[in-house]
Amino acid sequence: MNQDPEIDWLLEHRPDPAAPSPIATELARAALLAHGAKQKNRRRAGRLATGMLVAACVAGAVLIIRPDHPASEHGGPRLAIAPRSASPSAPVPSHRGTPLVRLAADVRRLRFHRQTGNATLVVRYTVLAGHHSIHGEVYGGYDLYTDSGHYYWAPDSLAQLQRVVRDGLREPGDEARALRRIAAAAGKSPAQARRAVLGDPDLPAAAPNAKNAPGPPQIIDVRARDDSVVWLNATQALAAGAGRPNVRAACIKALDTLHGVREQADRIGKARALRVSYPDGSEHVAIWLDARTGVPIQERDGDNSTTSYAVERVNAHHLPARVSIHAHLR
Amino acid sequence: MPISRTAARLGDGAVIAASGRDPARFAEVFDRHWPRVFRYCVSRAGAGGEDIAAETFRVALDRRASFDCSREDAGPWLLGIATNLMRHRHRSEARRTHALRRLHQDEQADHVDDALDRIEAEAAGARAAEALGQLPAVYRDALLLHVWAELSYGEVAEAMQVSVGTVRSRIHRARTFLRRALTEEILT
Repeated sequence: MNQDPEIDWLLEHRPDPAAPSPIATELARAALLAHGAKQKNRRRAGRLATGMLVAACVAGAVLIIRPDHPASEHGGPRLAIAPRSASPSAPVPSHRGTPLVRLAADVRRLRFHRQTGNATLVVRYTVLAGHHSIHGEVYGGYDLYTDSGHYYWAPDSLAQLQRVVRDGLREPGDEARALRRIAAAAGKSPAQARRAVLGDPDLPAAAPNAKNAPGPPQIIDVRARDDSVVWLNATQALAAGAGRPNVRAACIKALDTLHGVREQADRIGKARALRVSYPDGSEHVAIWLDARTGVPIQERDGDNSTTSYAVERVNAHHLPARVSIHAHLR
Repeated sequence: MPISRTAARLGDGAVIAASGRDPARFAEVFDRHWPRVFRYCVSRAGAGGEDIAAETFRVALDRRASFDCSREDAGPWLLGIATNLMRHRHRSEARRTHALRRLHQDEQADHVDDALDRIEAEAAGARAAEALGQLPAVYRDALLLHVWAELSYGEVAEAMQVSVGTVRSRIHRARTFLRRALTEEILT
């Protein structure tokens, strides 16, 4: 008997479909082979067309270089690049409001983190308790987020992380896209930041200030579910975007929309912190953010685990030998 | 003594690399993974899963250049494609259903809006699907890839193209929600 009742229940309800019939298998196989053959023919035709196109482009390029387009200093044609339109400065939120909104405004004014290195190193030290240790696997580790959008991870040591980077074993993932989306919401309202953090097109939306929509009763409280996703996504993005003020600002604003969220001035070691707690269903979760930079310092996931974060700007190809637990991009 | 076929068998990565020049080689990947992909798709999408399973291999063939050929097992990659196809197909169906409801102003329509939820309801029992269906899709996909398709956390990460940490969090949250939803009515 599995000690996890919901897993038992899921396994009990797992459908047990019959093995594919020989006919279905043959049909699918034949369709795949026909698709492959078509692809091969297309590629052959494409190569021919590409050859003709390249020839045409070369001929065209010769015609396009004219005396009124002066050559570059290297002798090649100079490319005309349209001037970038000056973007209006994003509105900075009012300095009034809740501690979270005020912190988000402060964080948006910070620009110095990206001046050194080319990546943000996040070291997580997680202490686990109880059976939520997830099959005894390592929980925590060494994350490296490069400014170019790549993510590397190693479970055990900085030396291991350095090898992972050297071997180019970056994690596949949609983190970079999600972080871009979240960062773009930094200058917007908390509700808009919430939507950016929620970011799941499959999720039926629940209004940030509404209880469950009228209609048939829901097994799951939709508002609580969305809040839970916002908390999870925001706290993960706070760590992943620790080196990016706009990501942090948007995440902090999104946290401000959670039902039952509470802030409290606190200290972690010598650092002044804002303790943000939230009743995630039956669990009380909390994150401590640096009161000046919004960088996560510590997180508590119910009674299950406490994670401490160390954050540093680094050069991805020359990681430091060690990182102080007190490193918080101060 | 003949060399055993198992010993001589190339990993999926090598076969997929070879299929770059010769797409027919991809049939070997099909032969290895078709039963598993088929079962997963039919488990989640009922009879329509058969088409999705077949489509999975056609899409995989088109996208084989993106596969990391250093990997031995293409199973997680294929199941990830299947999951995305299911999501995409049923999202389209849900949009059509919504449009039809608007046309007919059918206020009494079934409240299980997502077509995939409905099909899962038929496959796994209405109660199970109701609880599952109200989970965020990314949580549900991670959980079912782990429990029904029996992928490890690392394999789910590969299938869903997210980090292992994200998978852990998604599965943990999905389980918490499910446990909470089921505690009163199912488990006690």
